[in-house]
Amino acid sequence: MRSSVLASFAALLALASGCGGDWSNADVEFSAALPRRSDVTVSMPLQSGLTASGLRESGVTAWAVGDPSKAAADARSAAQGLDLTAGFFISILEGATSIPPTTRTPELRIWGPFPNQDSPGWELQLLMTRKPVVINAGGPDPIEGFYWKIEYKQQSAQDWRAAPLVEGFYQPGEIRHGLGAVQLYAAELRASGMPSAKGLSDLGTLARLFLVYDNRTDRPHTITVQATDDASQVVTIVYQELATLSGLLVFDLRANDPQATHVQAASRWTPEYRGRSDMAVLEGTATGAHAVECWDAQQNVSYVFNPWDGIFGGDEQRDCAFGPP
Amino acid sequence: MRHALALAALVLAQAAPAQQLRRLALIAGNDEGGRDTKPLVYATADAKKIHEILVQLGGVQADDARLLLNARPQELLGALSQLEARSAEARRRGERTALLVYFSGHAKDGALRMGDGSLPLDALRARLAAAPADIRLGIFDACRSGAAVRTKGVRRAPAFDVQSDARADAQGMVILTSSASDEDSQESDSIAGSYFTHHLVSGLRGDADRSGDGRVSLSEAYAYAYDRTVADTAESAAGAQHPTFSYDLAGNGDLVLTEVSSRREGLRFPAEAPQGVYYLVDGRGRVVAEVFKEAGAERRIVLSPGKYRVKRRLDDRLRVGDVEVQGGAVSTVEESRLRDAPFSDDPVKGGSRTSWSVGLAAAYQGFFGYQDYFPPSTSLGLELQLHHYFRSDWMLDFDATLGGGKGQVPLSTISGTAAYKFTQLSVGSSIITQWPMGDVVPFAGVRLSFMVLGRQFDPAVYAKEYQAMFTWSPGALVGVKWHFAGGWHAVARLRLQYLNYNIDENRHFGFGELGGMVGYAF
Repeated sequence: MRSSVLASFAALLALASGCGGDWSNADVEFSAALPRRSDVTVSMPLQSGLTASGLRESGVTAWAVGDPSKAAADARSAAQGLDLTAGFFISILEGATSIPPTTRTPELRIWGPFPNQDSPGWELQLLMTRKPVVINAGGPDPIEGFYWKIEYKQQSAQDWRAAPLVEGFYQPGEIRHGLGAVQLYAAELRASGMPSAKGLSDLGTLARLFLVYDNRTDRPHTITVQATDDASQVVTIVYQELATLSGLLVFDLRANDPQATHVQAASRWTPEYRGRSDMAVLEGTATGAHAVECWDAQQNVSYVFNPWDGIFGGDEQRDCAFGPP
Repeated sequence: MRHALALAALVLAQAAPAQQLRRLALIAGNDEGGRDTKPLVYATADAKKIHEILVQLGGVQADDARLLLNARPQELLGALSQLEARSAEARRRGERTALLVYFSGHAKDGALRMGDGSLPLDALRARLAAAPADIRLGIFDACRSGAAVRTKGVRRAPAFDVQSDARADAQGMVILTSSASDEDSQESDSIAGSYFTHHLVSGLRGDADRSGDGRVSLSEAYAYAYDRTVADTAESAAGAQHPTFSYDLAGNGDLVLTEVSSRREGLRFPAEAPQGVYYLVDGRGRVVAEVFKEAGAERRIVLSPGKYRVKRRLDDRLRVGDVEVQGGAVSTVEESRLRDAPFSDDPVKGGSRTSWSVGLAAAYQGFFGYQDYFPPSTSLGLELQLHHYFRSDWMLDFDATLGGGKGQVPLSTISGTAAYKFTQLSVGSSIITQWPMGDVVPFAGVRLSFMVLGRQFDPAVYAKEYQAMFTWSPGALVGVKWHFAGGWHAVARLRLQYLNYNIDENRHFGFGELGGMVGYAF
């Protein structure tokens, strides 16, 4: 008995090697480079009772001073759409990195493959690398950052599809703050035949979606979404935080309408959600046309300048929270 | 009979001074007896005691003594050959020689068991009989060692007759065995040795000197060891153990084994000291001698200089006191300097029975050079210890520890660090050997622990918030224990552990833990 206890103890000593768990400094580093969902949002006061009507291509439309502001509702709707889009992609990363990676190498983490629960027979995996790459995120200078992608394929297939479902870059800066970009290959997803994943169920004619976020602490937070449809029409929405609950949303449309091939609408709002929208035709036969609508804290029109529809009212100086852009 | 023997020895010693006797000794002890035997606890310790006393008091020069511990039969026979050669050479020079062979260990089926080897008793006896020495003395402290003498007039009796031929020096062979051929030789934890050798040693230190001539003769030592061994084992579960002898000496048949008068230092028990059995415990908690003090008689034994604890057991308590033996001086045991003590304060540490103790521990832990991964921490723990389970002075320790601290993960691609709270739960077991030195007990051992580590991050830094790791960690420990009151003891300890990390990459970590514990022994 005593000898066997001693022998067992010696055997355990000999076998005492190796460990398990997810104790990883590198995992912390991977995670700390990614933004928090709560840090990549459109800053806007909560508002109930308003229904988003969708951003119209023609931009600002109102009937008269005192009427409910269509521009206010459109700006909110666009901001919420932008917020949901950014949140969708950030949440993917947060969700993936909240579980231990399946594979670890010094410069690479892989989560998966996991079966796609929304699409039986298909599987997904997330790869994240710390090998630096240089990308052009639409800014004046290329940025150097790290790369990640979500790949997908049929479970019976040997290779992952050439185009990932989503790919992204991030430029680490401070903890959970930095500059990042995400690209959704919507056209390739439709072509693959994989049933649309949750959150991507209504891609419509969307061909590609490119999102850039910047939540670095030493500058205004911005979110940019650029959507391209199958007809190569490009919509760009740029959000910039002006102050807490106050922001600027620039809606830029390049369309095939010969009258207005390039239309831009800029909406700004205060923390009380008083706001102003400016719409201008930048290209097309109506180049130079512009309209303005301001709204008060009750989201009613306080000033309108709409030469297209011949609607005017209020005093810009007095009734608008912001001056001309 | 004993008085007659003592008188005869005294007369012989005075009437016919013996020629100088060159003494050679081969002393062997084997704890392991190989297959079908349980390891002994004190066989090698007994051999050391015999070696010490023969060199100290038995007239054996250190160069003429061979001490073999856990040796193989070939080694024993080789050493015996060397001593035989020395004896033969001495005899050629005209010296008289005595060759003593002592063995403590297992014996089974007519053979001494030495690890996986065996040495037939008949062969050894024949070898000894033919040895080129005037006197050959074999002492076998082993189970059924009586088989060594059964072929020739073995007797178990409290004493043997000394043939008194004063005209000639003794010549011949004597074999003493610790038990009869059908008996087990027993060890005792309370004396940390075998009964037979323990009493033989005590007797050789002077307690067997019934004649009072300052010498302990073979017959005195045997008689003393016989009486005490039979008395101590009479009530044991294994039954009484009867030492035996085979005596074949001619001439002046008694052999002086130790000259206690040759050493001045020792302990004296004055005539007025209470009668009873006194145990002399050295600084390591070992019983080095036992003195049977009769009422009105003075006793004296030889001890090496040092500090000793004197213990006398009464029915309901102990009488305990400290005494120091200084070189060249005889110290007196004074009853007035002994104090009452409960049995839990028994100073004999080395041979305690299996017992338990519990403790509350605290420690500081730090990793060597890799604090990026594991921060320093402090911990509290509970420990349960099983003493003397595997063998005397060995301890099996079970511990459970909970600790914590704060750390930071340095970030190489991001400015800033990721702070976290660190927690550690470990359960471990240690095997520890101790070296009792009175109240102070140094110890060392090995430990295996299972560790569960966790760290909690601010979610603003790390989305997953929590990381954990579990691993086995082998290590070693050293420390010292101090018995400060009753069953209470304090421990200072250093543990060094190894940790293999293979999550991010394969890395080897070492960490140390400096701690203390307060415990209570039941």
